[in-house]
Amino acid sequence: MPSADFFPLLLAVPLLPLGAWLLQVLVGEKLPRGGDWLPTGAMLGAFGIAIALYLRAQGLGEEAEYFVWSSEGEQGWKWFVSSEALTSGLAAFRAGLWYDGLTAPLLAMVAGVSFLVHLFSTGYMRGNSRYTAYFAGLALFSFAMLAMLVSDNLLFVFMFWEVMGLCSFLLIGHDSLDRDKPRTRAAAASVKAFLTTRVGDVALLVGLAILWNGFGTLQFHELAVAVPDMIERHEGWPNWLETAGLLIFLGAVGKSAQFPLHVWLPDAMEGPTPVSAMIHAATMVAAGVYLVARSFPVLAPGVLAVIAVLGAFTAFFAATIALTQDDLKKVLAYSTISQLGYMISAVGVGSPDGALFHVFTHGLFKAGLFLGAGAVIYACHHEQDLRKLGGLRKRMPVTYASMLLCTAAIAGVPFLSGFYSKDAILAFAAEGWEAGAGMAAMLPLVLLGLAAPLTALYMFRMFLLAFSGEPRSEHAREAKEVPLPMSLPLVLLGLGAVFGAMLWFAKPSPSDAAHEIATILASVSLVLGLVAALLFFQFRKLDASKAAAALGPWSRAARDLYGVDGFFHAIAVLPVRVLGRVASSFDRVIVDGAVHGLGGLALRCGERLRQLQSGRIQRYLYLTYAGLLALTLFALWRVS
Amino acid sequence: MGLGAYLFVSLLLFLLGLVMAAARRSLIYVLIGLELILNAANLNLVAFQRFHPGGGLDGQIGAIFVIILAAAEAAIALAIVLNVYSRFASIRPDDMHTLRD
Repeated sequence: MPSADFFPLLLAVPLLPLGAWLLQVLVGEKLPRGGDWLPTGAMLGAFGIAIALYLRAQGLGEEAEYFVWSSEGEQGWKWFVSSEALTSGLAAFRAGLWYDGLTAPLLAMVAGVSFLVHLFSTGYMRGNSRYTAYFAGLALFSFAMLAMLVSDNLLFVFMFWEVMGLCSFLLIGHDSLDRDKPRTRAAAASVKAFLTTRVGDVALLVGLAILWNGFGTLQFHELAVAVPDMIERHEGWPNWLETAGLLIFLGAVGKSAQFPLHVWLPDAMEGPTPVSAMIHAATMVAAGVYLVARSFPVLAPGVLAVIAVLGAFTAFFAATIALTQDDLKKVLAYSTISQLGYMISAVGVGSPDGALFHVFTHGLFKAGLFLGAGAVIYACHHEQDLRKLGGLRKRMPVTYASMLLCTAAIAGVPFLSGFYSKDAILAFAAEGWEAGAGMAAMLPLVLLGLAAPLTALYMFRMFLLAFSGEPRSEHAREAKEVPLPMSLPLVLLGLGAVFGAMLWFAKPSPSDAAHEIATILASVSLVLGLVAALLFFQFRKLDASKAAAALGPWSRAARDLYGVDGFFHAIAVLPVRVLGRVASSFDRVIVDGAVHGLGGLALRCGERLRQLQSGRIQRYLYLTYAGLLALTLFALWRVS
Repeated sequence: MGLGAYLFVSLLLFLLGLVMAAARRSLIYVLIGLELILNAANLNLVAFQRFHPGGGLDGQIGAIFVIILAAAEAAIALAIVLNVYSRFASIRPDDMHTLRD
């Protein structure tokens, strides 16, 4: 099926932003408008190609869900062909491109969202002192994510994964180098994001090493064949394979901000808002889910159970925190963590398709939400405290409409995109409950079911606080609708939030009974959450602060983020700081002491010795005689 | 007269030259002191040759070489002394201490 012109096209999707990045770094400063049109145009090109490929895949009709285009065979690249590998029968490392029914919509979505974020940034970042560098970072970020999506092996996934880690570091810390008002908190947040995800990355690398050692390949389709073979021969899952699966999952825990490594994501809100849209909707956090979903064949049942429970717990846990946040972007950050919990949990309950489906729809509406938040922040002169917003409905009608659609989608309003994907995940969780037995099988469904009404509640809370009622500050009163480059992405993403689910090929198909449970659960949750939000924040029939007081310690704990940040501060940050102090004083006292001591000694010796050089030749003569005498006496003493 | 007597005279010459070079307050005397030291060495050479069982003239030839070198050295040294005098208007060694740290 793959024709010859297919692979260059597929390769062009990631290479366009890469080229744009290179040009932007080299000559961007000299281009008109800081070169922003270069990455934006490249992303538009990549998006166009991705759409063309998508349409071609869709032309396959019924087959679209199952098709696979791979550059295996004559077009696959073969690397690391050593003579040792040939004689020992080990395969050389092979890498290629991979495009199937799951990649097709994801690739188009990522390219599209990246393009819209670029476009939005041309308005949002105008006048920034590091405008060119910002666009270079965005372009590299898009390249890494697109390249990861078309990779057919875990090693390439890991490489682009690391590039994304670097880009997130650069972009979250973007404002820390601002010429006018540098933000040190942005620098701290970028370091935190980088180091926290690094914990997972190390685990992932070890996991990959174990897999390579066991199978001699890291290609998805070969692993999918090799793992069942291995289980058959071994009569069960070998321990090392279970360990490898767990380590790969740990990588995703870091990147996709699952409990307990979620702490970096809320802090990452220090980055410019379009970057948040990029990181938290289309690229970085989706990468973790994508990795786990693609690695599904190597995950043992025990590991899957852990994944299901941890993901569901994260979904619930983050939802409760999101309820207590007053910062517009922080609410969205915790909602992202919660939604990622849904996706991860979906893999755990045996539906990687469902997880990627949610990645797809979430990418669209979460990008819409973040860009909408960016528009609000832009219009309100960087006011992002919900207590000071309000009444933006009349002042920013386009943003309002787009945010309403996206909020409805994430809350799970029927017939919007988020409804279908969340419904699928809940259905698979219900199926897992039916199939399994005991508490462990029930936990994911219970936790995800609890998180669902909370999602509706916190999202509509945020939405109503920002858009309805009266403005609660001068900034909100003066807000005006954003210009076209910023409102256009909002409109498109709002439409995406509505129709996104139709663009997905591989509709997951849970059993009917499970589907019923899920639909009922989702509908009841939505009604509960929506009614509660309206009563609290629209009609003011109930007082939110009284409700918080009634929950007492729980609400306070959620406000304190359950002490996770404090815990990491105590067990990781403080010891490292103490170690740093010790190392620094060791360096100052011992190492520098030795160096300075030696230097000082030489100097002092020199001070003394220079007094000998008096310029009086006869004194030199005396000294010479004295030396001669001493040598003579020494020689005599040695001889006798 | 045995070897000891020669060596004794040589030692005396050497010490006198040494003290003279080190202690006199004129460059000319310092030079004379150096000549004395050289001649003490010459005396040693000749005396050892004389009392050496093999005979021959090696020591004497060595002494003649030293005398020639001493003459050359004296010429150069006196020239230096003249230059020193024109620069410092003195030939006291203590007055010349500009070559110092």
